[in-house]
Amino acid sequence: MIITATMKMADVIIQNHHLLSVINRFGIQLGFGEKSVDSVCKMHEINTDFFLDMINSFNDPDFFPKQKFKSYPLSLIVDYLYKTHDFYINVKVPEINSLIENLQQSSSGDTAKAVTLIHKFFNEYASQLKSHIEFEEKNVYPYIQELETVYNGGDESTIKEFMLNNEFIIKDYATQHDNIEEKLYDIKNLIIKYISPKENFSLCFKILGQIAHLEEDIKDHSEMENKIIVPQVAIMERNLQTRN
Amino acid sequence: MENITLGILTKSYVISRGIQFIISKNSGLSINIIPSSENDIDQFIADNKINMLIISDSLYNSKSITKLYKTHNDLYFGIVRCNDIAINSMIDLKLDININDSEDIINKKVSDFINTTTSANRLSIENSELSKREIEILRMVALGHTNQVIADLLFISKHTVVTHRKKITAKLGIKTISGLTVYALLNNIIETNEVEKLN
Repeated sequence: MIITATMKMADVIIQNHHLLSVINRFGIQLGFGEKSVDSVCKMHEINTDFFLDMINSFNDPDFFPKQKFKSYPLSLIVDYLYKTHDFYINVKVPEINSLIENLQQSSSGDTAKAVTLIHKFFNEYASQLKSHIEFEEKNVYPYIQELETVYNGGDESTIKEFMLNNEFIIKDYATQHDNIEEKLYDIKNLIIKYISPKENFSLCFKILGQIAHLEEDIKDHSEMENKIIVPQVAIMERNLQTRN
Repeated sequence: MENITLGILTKSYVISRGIQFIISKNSGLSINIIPSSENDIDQFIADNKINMLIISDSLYNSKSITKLYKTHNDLYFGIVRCNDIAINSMIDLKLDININDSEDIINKKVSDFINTTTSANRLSIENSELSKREIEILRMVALGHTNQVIADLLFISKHTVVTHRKKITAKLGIKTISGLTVYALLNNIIETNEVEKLN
């Protein structure tokens, strides 16, 4: 189903509650009564088209209007990506971590040993994710924001100075996500295959559900980076080079 | 697990979504399906790392299909026939669907296609016990040795190590070194203190 501007925001969430985490990133809280998607967006000063494309691409894995995404300012997308980072680090990862801790505490014998290993693995994953995010927020995103500003309104000397100070080539960074995603996939796989908790199966299901949710979200996140941001920035870089 | 990334070249939304639906329904494999609206096909194939191409004859005539086949002979080819055009017999079509095929026929064709293109892969999934050699290599990977070191220790080529590692990953469904280490620990292929010594 494609979500449209005239639908009620409540209906959007009712049909897929996972979208709650997405609307939350736009600063939208629950309690929207009978308001439409469009009017909720206007209330929060959100670009409705952008909101719709974003939420639809989460809702339907096949929905990804590449050309339309490319028409939005990069700063809009980057701003959104900052917020998803915050969600991963401050909400999702701690949530999964504490669930695994619970499982660890309530398991015994071989299961306890297995859960301990998985917990360690998850921590390793979490710190890798964190340092990757820090790298993006310190180096990549500010670079993109500056590039866009310079690109759109910089005079010749600003452009020259920008190019002198930045040798960063966006392509180097495009493939870095793969390994992080693979770790999460492995964790899920290991839990499914090798953890057999007798009393705690519901806790295990919860952990798997949360991991799958994070996995999906990160997939969308890197798709945005690899398919929209990286190619767009590469074009801008090339154009700046030829302009000079 | 071998990944199949399937590109669909058609202007028809109905065909691309239809093929996508039928193939995902018939396979448990991870098949990435990318509909193309792009003009630059070569770029599209390279960018998306496509290894299977399905074309429809509403978009291509038999000459352009032959040309496409010649440039990309490393890909699997499939066709959705809308018009009954003659296809050059040198083209090895792995999947040949007619737009008017019934559900049963299409499902049969697609599952045959999936079985043949992934048969090697299927075998290894069914026989997922690791061999002695694979366990030996898994142990070394888990202990943190690089491919080169493993090759030197076992007197085999680096290429052989890589092949073993691919098989291990295909059998276990575990891709990262950390994941393999956890697997090795869980199955007593290595001991906890061996890993701690390393750290």
